[in-house]
Amino acid sequence: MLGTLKRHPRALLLSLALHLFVIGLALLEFSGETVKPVVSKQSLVDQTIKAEIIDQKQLDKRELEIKKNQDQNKQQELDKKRNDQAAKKRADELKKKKVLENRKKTEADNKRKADALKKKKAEDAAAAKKKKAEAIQKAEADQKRKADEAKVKAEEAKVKAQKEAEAEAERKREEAIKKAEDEKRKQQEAAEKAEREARLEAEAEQRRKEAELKAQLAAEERQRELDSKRNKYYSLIKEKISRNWRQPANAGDKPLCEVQVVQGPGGIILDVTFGKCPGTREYRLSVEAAVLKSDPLPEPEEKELFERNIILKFKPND
Amino acid sequence: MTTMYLNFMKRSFIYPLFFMLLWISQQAQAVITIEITEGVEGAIPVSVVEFDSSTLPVQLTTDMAEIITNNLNRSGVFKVLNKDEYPRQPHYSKDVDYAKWRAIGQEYLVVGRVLNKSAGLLDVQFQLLDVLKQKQLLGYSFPVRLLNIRSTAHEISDLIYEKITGIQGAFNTRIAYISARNDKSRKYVLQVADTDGFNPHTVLESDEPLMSPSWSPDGQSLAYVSFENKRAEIFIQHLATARRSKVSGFKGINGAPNWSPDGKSLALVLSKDRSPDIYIMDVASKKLTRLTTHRSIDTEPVWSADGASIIFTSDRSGSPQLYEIPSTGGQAKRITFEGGYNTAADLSPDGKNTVMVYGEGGSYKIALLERETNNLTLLTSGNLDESPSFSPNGRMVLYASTQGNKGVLYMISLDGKSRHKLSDQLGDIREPVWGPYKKVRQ
Repeated sequence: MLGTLKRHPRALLLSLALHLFVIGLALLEFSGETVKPVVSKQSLVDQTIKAEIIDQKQLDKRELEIKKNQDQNKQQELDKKRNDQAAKKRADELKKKKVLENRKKTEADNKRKADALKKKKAEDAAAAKKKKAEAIQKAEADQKRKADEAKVKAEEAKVKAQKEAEAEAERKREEAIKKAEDEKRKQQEAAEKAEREARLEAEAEQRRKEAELKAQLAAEERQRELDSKRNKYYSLIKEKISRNWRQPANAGDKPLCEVQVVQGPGGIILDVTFGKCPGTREYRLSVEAAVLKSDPLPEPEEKELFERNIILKFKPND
Repeated sequence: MTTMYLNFMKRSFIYPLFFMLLWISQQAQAVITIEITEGVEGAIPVSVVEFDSSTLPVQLTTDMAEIITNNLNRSGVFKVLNKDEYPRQPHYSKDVDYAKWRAIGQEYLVVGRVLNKSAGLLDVQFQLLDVLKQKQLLGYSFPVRLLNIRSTAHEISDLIYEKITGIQGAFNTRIAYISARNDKSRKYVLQVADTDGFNPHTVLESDEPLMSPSWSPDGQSLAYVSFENKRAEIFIQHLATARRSKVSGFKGINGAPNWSPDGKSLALVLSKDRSPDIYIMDVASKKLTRLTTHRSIDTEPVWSADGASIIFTSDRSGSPQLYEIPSTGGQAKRITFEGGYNTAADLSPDGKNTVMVYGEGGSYKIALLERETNNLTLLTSGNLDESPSFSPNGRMVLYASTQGNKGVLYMISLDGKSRHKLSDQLGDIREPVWGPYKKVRQ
């Protein structure tokens, strides 16, 4: 075919232009439904043409197959042609000439189309290649950048991590120090508090003890005072009765004589009862008179010292 | 509280409660004891207000209050307030303002009045009042003749004394003594008087000495020694009838008669058997029993109150000392060991005490010997005190002392602190002896 084309360059060009035209039409047609009937006609045509154009080998192969088929068919047809050769030789030749022409035109178109396609393909490939290269480059750049960035980042991260670690360590150290200080301070505070509390407690205890001591001293003082007043009270009673005791001058024995005295408020003597009292009547009467003469008995300085019942023991010192 | 209830509650409640109450009562009755060891020894302060006799038709010459006052003062037990210090002169207890008497320290008060009871009969009333207790202790009414008004005063004194001391008073008793008249007559008189020396009665008057009077226990008679026959003889004389009889006129000394407590016997001193010895004479039969036989002088016998023994003076040891011998005979025991001269004993009715003349260095005093302890105390401080004689209650001692050239009578308390001379008597008085209680009280 190439030979044909080479022999017929004009035909190729024509065919190519024709093809382009058709493709253009097809492209146009494809853009609108109005061209449909054309495409359908073209498609039918295209089927037979297409196998021959796309791949030379396939084409060749197909041609071989076709040839084979044709050889087979030719045999048959030769038989038939021989039979019809003469009849059809002129129609065939005409037809053949027309097909050849169509074929040439189609081939040109195909060739134009293929070229365009090829060109486009090449351009596409170049573009793709370029794009790919660019992509690669870009990828590489990206990768590099990314790597750099990663590296920087890693470095930064590392630094950062280090810094953070350092900071953390510092923080921890500070914390530890702070904690230790806190602990120390707390302990100190606790110790101080404990000491303060102990001191306060001790002071309170001291105050309590002092208060106790004071109270005890006051109580003792009060007791001494009471004792003193009590002694004075008894002594006053004793003195008054002694003063009023006129011992019998001439009554012989003066034995121990017990008298129980009941006195009321104000020292008023309510009752005088003899206990054990031997001796003469005169002696007993002297004892009784001593008590009665002492009515009212002296009163104590404090009411609580008052004694309602008093036993008096009369016994003259010889 | 019923017994059932008590039983029911006993275990669970009453006993604990009881002990609790006991405790409380012990707390409440925590009786204090005060010892009184000091006290002025002294007589009982008493006031005797003059007895009112203003309603009598005649003026009473006898001051009963004064008699009582003197008696009480003489006892040593009482100290009668000088009547000038009396705040009032009440005669009835209802008129007494006790506070006033108390204010001047009086413990007792005697008020009284002499009323006209009937013709020749008086009504003597008195009240002994306790000033401190503000109550009457005694109240008596005596229907008496004017003649007996002194003895009534003595009787009142006895009642007061006994009421306060618990001891029978001896004021309303009599004493006997020998008085030698200092006038030209030089007569000796045996007299009986009241214990205050008043109201003397002559029992016997003699130109010759009279000695050693002794009261019969019933107070009706006196035994005495009279020299009327120029020698010492013993007589007994009945006071009321003045009848007398010589009971002992033996050769030698008939002296120192002393009546036994039962009145049946006389102890006496006879020298009919050479040396003077103690004999006991049965008064009724005049029968003699010789009690001592010592060749020394035994004299001045005196009966113990129970009649069981006789104490006498003997110089058998070389100096006059007192000895005791059973009245039924036996061994004489010496009872005085202090001093070189112990004579003229008298015994207290309770037998506890002996009084005697204690001579030393030419002075003679009255001494008291406590039989139980043998303690000897001098009661007097005179130079020539003699003839001590116990009062019937044993609380006082009557004795004679020499004042100037004449003897006078004194009474002294047993502690020697109260000593009173009896009212002035005529003559030189010796040998007093205190008579017994009167048998019947008025």
